[in-house]
Amino acid sequence: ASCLARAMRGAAQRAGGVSPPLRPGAPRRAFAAASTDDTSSPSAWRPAPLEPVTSAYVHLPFCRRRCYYCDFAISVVGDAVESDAVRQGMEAYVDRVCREIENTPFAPSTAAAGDAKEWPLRTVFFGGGTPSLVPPDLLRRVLDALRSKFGLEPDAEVSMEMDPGTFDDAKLDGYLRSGVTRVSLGVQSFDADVLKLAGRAHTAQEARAACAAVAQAMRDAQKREDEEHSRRECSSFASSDEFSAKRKKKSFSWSLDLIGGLPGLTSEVWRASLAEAVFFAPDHVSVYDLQIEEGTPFHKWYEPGVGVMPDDETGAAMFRDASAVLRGAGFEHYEVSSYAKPGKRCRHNQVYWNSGRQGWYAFGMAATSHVDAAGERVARPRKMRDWESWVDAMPPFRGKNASENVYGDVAKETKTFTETETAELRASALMERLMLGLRTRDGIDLDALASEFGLHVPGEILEVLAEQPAGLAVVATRDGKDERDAAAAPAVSYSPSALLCDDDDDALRGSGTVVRLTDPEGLMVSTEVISTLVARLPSLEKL
Amino acid sequence: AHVDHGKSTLADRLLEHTGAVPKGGRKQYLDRLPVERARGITVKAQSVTLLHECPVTHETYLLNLIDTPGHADFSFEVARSLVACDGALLLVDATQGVQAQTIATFFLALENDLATLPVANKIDAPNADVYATREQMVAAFGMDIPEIICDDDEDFDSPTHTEKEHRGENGGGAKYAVPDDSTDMTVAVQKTKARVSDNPHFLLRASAKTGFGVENVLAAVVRHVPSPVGKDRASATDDTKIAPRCRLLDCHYDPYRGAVSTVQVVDGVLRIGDRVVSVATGAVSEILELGFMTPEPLRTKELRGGHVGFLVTSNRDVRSATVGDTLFVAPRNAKFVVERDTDLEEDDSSESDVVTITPLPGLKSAKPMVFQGVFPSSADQFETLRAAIEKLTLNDSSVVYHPETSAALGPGFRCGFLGLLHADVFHQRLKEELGVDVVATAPNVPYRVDYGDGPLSERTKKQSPSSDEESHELSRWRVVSSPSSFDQERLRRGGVGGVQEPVVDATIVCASDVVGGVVELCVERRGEQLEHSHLGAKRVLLRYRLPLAEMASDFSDALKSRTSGYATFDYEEAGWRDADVVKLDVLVNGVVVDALSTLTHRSGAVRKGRLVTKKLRDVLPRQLFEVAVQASVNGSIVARETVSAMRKNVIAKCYGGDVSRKKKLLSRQKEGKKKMRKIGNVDVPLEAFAGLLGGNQGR
Repeated sequence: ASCLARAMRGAAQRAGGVSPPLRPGAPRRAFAAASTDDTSSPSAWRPAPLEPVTSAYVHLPFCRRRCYYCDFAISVVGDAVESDAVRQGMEAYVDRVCREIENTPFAPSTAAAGDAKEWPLRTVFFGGGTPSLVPPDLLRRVLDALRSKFGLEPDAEVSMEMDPGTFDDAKLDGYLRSGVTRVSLGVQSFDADVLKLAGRAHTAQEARAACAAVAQAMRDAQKREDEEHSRRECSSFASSDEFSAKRKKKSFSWSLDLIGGLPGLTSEVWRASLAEAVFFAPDHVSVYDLQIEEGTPFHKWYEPGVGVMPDDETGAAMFRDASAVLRGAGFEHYEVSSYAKPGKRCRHNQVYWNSGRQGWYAFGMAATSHVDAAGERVARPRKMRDWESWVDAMPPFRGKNASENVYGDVAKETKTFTETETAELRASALMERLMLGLRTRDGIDLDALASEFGLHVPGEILEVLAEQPAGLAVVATRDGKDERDAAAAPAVSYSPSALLCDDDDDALRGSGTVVRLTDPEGLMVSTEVISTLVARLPSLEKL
Repeated sequence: AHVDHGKSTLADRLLEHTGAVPKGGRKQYLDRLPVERARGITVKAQSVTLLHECPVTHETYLLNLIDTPGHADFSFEVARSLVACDGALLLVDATQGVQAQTIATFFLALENDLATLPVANKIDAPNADVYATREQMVAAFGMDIPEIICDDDEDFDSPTHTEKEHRGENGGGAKYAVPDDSTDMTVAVQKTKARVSDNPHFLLRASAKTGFGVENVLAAVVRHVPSPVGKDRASATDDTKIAPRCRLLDCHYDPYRGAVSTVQVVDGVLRIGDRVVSVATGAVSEILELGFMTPEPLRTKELRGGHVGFLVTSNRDVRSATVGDTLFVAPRNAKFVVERDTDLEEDDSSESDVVTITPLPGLKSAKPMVFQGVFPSSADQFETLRAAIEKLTLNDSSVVYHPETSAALGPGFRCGFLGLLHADVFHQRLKEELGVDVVATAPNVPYRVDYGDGPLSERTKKQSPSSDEESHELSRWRVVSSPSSFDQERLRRGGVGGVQEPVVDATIVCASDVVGGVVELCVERRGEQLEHSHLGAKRVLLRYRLPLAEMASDFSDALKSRTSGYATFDYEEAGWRDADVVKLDVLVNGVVVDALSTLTHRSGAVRKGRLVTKKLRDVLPRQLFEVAVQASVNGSIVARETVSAMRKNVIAKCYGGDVSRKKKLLSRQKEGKKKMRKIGNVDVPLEAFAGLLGGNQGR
């Protein structure tokens, strides 16, 4: 609270023509931006380098069939998933993914940090498609390839998407023994009609069985891990083996994924699905709002509010219901479509939302990587053949250590940009920060924005938000002690508290000012709020 | 003649027949503007010089053909063209008969004392009815048309024979098989040599589509249209004292050559190197280039009396060229006196080298009938828009404009147009020819207001004592072309003032079974009947005095829908009439949107208010809050609509690969939002400001 008060005092001083005593803030994180607080020389700005990359996404595109709402890059294999032909196809794909992993250069930030082995992967995500169609031994091959190339932290979060009806206990156990620690289960709905209308390949019965099985398997796995860990601790205590003492405990968890707004859903059916989700006690729930994408059957068939399609009003009610029910059950609504029990947020997804600082590798058809702070994301070809040629054309990995073989051009990192390029990069980075940050419970840290993008930026943001209706956004101290409606906050009420605060004043450090959207009203219209913000922010005019 | 009766297509056939263009070439050859080709209409009158060899006498005639627009908006182009002509082909679509614009054109030709040659076109069509057409012409024009439908002079054997051979056969002689549908225009014809005919009363039958009867048309022109020579020379007593004179018919801007004028030489000879003087401006320039349009430019060394051709002078500025101006050739260092009609005072010096110039009768200048705010679609494009408008008005001097600033749309222009089609064509040309996107606000007619509080003493001071009463009458009125300059409060305070609106006399031709609907419409639109007569058995001619405001909006559409298309109309100015005019304001969440204000008759204010608010409700995107859209007159709300708040707008997924996609989407949304204008806190898309233009005007 005092920090906010101080901030206001700063603003008042500025209004009176007296500059606040600014102190250049010391870098507050290990890989902080070589930032500037001087807006008059944009050429001095450059994108903050990423932290060494410790995340990887692997796309496993196989599906039994295509759901009616899906526009992903997938490879339909039909129901004969156990056949030799399908197995061979998957094997070929997985082998090529392994080759891609092997030939992929290290991220510049990793290379810059010296020995790549110092930065093993912390999160891995197998997405699809339906990764659970891929046999556990093939999945293990990919994990082994990742481990041998980049290293894998013993307590890394290794997530995989699974669909009900594609696995049994043995298969599930196989995945877990291969190294999977987190399962994201694509239930989508517990209603038979809704599943049918969506073109899902599984039944409501299979969904329930899958939830029970996964929940049980995760509990068992965690129990095993706990036992093993304490055993290790005892033995390490006894043998004073440093390595095993350091080894952190693996955490097993699972997510139950639902889709709101599907055809056939009514508020009653939706609430029943939510209740059932809570009953299975997952660690995490993802609630996606149906997006009707061009080129999908849904796009051809449905219009909002017509026939079985819920109208906007019902859709809004579903969003509110999800928020109320899940938060009531002890979940934290930490991102627009993500709910987690305390400590169970998906670490991998958070990397995506922290893209200004963190990057990720990506492998497989249509997968998108982000390894270079200035560079755009690299999307692999969306067609199987094209991706295959793309991988086959990769130059083989030669270097013994990271610095000899990095993504793109090392020079890029030190290259000077033209003024226009800088302005564009900067606007693009700011836009991304707003877009991703406002979708999360943590919101955007105004102090960080001020130090990275200029002192005027927080004021601009607050000014636009002040024009919005009440109840959608709040300005708060990070500790949450002082929180007020952004619509009620007087327009230019911000000055960067971290810079004003005396560095010796430990109490104030880290208690920066954040802006975030309210739950559920603000998050529900997040796209509109963000696009309004982006359209009206003077700093983004150039983009 | 009327729209789509086949003027430009007949012009094509005439061009082909005289060998000016190859057969089967581009259709509507003379329509060159992209907008003309896109819409299949003629906007600018085009003149072309044809050489016609008479098949009998083998004498060669030089004919000047002007292809004119058909739409009512461009009737001034027709009027101008007719002043320069000696004869006119009055084209009537034989499947449609006499229409409103046929009548308008006929009377224009009559005023100009032209030899008028009626032509029944499209006789190849199965439903062509030449007899009914003739009957209507007789009724409408009091023309004396003998029984014989096609009466070419017996001297001209071959055309008559051709005609006779094919008479009665559907489709006529397919001598010029040009398979295509036909389009529009009035064709005015001029020629240098002709014999005077004894009996000009006939109706030519032709098919511009197939080329049937084209020879007859040419023969009739040669036979019945008088030669232009001597018309203005009669007053000349001594050839040497008469300076060569020409009339400026049109002027367009060529990026390489500057102002290129179309001139009609009346007296004498113009030669390259001559010094020409403008009567209007006194500007002197040297002739650099002369030539004919054949229809491609053909340079010559001189242009003689009766010729129509192009002229390029050392004066590159197209704006100094006044259409209708008289240009004359003055010997170097010679003195000259411009003789005005009223002003007969003789110069003291009566030396022999003083040249006396009689200005040619001027051309009717175009008068803007509707005004619109024209704004750049993006506020930073104002300078681009200004440059584009300047450039376009070089070739379309009928557009008037002056800067106007709107709180909602920023800086822009108030532009005056001849009509809605003209406005629409102008916007299209801005976009297509100059790549400038504009927002054009709802059109309104000019009103004139007497606030009744003007300081009388100041008024009288300015006036010369001789014409006191007249100019006093004039100075009472202030022409208001924009709702923003209409001060309702001041008018109320003044008490004794008033507002007048322009009225027009409309000619409506319709089938007799739909006349009820037409009368009803005219009454609704505050019309006053002037005439109700029959044109043949199945057709009625109505003349109404109507407020221009009622005509200029959706009258055309309303007329079409009430008569299933069986009615046409044309109108001419008819002065001013007292009117109870109010300003209709539109409010978005309580904030008046100046660009949406309109001036309207009190009786129509509520109806219009409802329309405007409904339209706005439909185009306003949902916002994060409820938006009230209201219409008000003098502060009291007459209509209201509500746009409810946005319920939900959330993109659920946002993972690795999604980020760049979402970012692109967001950039698109942002661009869309940036194009919107903020009214209070509401984002209003540009289309909300666009006037109720378009509709079924043109195509």
